[in-house]
Amino acid sequence: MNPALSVVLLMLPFLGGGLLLILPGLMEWLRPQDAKPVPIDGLYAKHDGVFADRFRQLAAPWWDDPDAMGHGRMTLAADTTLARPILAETLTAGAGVVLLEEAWALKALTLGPGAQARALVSDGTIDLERGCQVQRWIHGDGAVFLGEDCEVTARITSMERVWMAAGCQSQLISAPTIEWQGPYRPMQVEIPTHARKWIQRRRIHETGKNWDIPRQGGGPGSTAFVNGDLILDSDADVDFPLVVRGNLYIRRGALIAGDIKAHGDLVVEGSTVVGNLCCSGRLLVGEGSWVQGCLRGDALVWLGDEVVIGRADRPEAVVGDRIILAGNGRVHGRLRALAGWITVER
Amino acid sequence: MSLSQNTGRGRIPLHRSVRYVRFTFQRLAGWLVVAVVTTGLQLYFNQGLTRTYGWVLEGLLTWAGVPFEQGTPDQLGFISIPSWSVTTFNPVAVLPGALAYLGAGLFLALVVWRMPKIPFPVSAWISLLGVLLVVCTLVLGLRPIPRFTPEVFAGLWMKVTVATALIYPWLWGGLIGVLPLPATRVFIWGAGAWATFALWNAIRLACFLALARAAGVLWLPLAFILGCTLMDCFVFIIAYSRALEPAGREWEEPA
Amino acid sequence: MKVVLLLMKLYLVMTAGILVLYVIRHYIFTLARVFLPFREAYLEWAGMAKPTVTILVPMHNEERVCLGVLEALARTSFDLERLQVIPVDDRSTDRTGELVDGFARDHAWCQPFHRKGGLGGKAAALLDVMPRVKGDVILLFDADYLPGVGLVENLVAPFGDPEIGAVMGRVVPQNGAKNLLTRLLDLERSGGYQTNQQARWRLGLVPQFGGTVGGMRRSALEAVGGWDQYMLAEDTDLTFRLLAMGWKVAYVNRAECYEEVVENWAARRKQVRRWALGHMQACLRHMRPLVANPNLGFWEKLDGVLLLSIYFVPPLTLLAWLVSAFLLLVDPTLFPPSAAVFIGVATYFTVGNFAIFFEIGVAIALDGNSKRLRLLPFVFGGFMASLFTVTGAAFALLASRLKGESHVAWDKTPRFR
Repeated sequence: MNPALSVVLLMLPFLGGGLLLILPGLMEWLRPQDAKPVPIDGLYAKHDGVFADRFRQLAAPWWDDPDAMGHGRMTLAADTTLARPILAETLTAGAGVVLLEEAWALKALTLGPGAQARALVSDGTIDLERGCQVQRWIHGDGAVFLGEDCEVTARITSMERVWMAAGCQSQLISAPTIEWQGPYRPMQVEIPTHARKWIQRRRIHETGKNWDIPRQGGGPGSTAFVNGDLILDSDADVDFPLVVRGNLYIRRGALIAGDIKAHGDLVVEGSTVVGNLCCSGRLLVGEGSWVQGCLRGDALVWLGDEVVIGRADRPEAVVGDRIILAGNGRVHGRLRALAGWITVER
Repeated sequence: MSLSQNTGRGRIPLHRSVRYVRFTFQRLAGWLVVAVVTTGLQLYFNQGLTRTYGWVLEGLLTWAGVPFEQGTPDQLGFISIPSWSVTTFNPVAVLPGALAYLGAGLFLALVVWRMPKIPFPVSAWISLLGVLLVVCTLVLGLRPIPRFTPEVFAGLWMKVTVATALIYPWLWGGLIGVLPLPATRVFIWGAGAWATFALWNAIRLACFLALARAAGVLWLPLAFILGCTLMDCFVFIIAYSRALEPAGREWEEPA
Repeated sequence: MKVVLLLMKLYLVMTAGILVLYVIRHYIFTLARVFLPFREAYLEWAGMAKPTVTILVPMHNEERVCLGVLEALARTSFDLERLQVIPVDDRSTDRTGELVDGFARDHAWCQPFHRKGGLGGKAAALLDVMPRVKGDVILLFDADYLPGVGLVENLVAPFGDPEIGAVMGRVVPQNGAKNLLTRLLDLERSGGYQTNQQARWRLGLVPQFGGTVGGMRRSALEAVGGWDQYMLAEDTDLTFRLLAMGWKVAYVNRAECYEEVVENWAARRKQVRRWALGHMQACLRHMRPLVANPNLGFWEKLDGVLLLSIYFVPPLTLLAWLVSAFLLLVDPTLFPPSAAVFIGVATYFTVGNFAIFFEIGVAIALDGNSKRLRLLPFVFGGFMASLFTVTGAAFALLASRLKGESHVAWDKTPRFR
């Protein structure tokens, strides 16, 4: 046989095989079915009550339904189990009530001790007594009160105020004012002994050299980078962004006006901080601190007694894998646990 | 494919930024069992795979009219690999063959030169092919039997192919086995993908062997890589366009 | 002759080693993106931290697109009191300046800057506009971009962390449906951002600042010495200068922005050529300081080195093909035939060739566009095209270095809207 013909014949199965493989691609190229750009949604800024709002949208027509239950005041006896959504003006449920679907109250919603619910929304207030469990979310346009050991799996949101007693937990809490009250055990922290110390007005004499925090570039607002552990002493005055590649310990009374980041743990003994606090380890904010800035601790965020985060007119965010709230305290803004729980110390 | 979270009242899609797939050890373990069994079967019928390759190859050579001789089998571990030699076939030894080669090369060059509208990657491929055809003609004309004959190459690739087929279930175990799929589907797709791969390898090898002999060995690696890549894409498309199932923390960000 | 053959073989082994390194890198990134839970911790701060922001939009003859980006910015959810937008009209000869001035009359936050002369190139224009910048954070958009409502807030959020020197967002082609080239570029962008950049950020490596849909802290920019107008890839250059002084680059996948990709191969070649030249230039400048940097960990350095030298891989590969073709004819005994060699080669053919496709495929699957996956085999064609272009660029750089030129000419990407 002619060699050239042999070559052509041998090429045929290969070309055929190759064509078979790119056939789906050819079809998609010539007759596109999936060519639109991925949709970019307009507004990213989070509205934390999004699930409650969606439910209210969905359930709005149900008010007109004559068979819909509980238009007026509704009271459920103890240990009742209901498998329908509830829409009422006010809802008062006794101890151990189980609501398998959502409940929506226009004025007030109260659950007795040990009640269980799927999700709760109120245009007014919400009041949960001790030991309630909510499978999904709670949203109140008014204030939300949670008794001891209440557990809300996903999120607690309020347009006004959230108050939690000892042992409450959830994954996201958001309100203009979030307050809690639990037992307080002061934090146990080991202060690194080999750390360098820095005080604003007098330089520490250390290993024979004067030491000052080196600033990158030296311009106004330029960041300072420090290798190793650092203690900011009580008369330190930091007014620039600071990055510590190690643990950072801020003594009571130090003045901080700048964003702070530590690669290890970050401990604030009890200071006023204007700026964000951010660390890759544990972030411990000691009693009496006031932080006007966002917080982020990759491992754990611990907020001690009488801690205040943010201002009523300027909300802030506290983010951590886990968040522990001890003693009394207040956060204006939102708390978010990325991997574990936000827990009020019990 | 579902990329959403259940809100209890319909599903809300998870934003693409936070989607991920959950690693499941059970699935991986299940796949590894499949891999052990299929590899074991192959080793047990140790020549089954290579014999299939042999049949496909011989069939193709016969079909294309290329004369060949069966050689002494080679060994890879305890698997015996058949080999062939094709020594009396040189496409440019006769004038029409040589002219066809040169003509095709020049024609491709002309196409690229006269048609500037061709997309760049296509013209790059065409010109590469044209140049290679011309070079092949020269090589085959000047050195009718290169020291490195395609048969040797085929023996090497045969071994590579067998080795690939043996490790294939294991490697894919790591990629497909961990996807959140029902075990039956993992098994069926895995076995199917493995069988397709083995068969494709045989066809590919046979074609390349003959083509290599016919065209000289120069462009073999290029074409081989292209073929492999296409195959891989195919398997990938089958597996991933159906298989990817997301898992996220419930109540992650809604889109 | 023997020495030459030995050198050739050594070269092949070295190239194979480098290719395997890149393959492993791609797999690690892809598997990390697929299987590691991803948390956008910084985005929890979005809308809370409010520094003053200046947005720079360099424009060189952009009359067809310049109003689009400004109108998109006018809809931003970011506080306009804290925002300054400077369209940088860079030596335009068309109506760009006029259009931008017209827009600025109705919007106080828009303060155009007109540049009449000076060096060409984005970096040179940015250098000139710096005295007018008032914000603590500088964001950059190209003129063909369409930023969404919340984009500015999302890009600004990571700057709450003082260690973040620059932030990069995700670029999404908006004209992807146009033809095969734009569709392929769409796939490449998906792979590059959704998988590659996001995995690098997740693994604590070196995400790259891309010069647009991103920004930097002004103090950091000043500390590293501002823009370098002689660099073609001012973004890569800045990434590594920030890294050298201790700052990190953050990547925010959720900060997505539409762009316009090039629609014909000629423009694509020019673009790839410019990127390649700029990247190689940056590589020559930053490789040594990067390796010597005491603040970076081993893996960060390794990723940085691989990122810097990525455009040297195509010429290496092309040369390796030629060398292997030559060796096949002359002396094919590269390795003694052993089981280890077989398994190695076989493994490479099974998974090695496939790394980049795996990466792109995973990105598209995560984006939720399963049908688009079918185009994956065609990406190979795109890579072949880039291979030749990048190799050409490498030779051009070599030639200009040999001639002793300090910088290479800059050319602009055409617009198709």
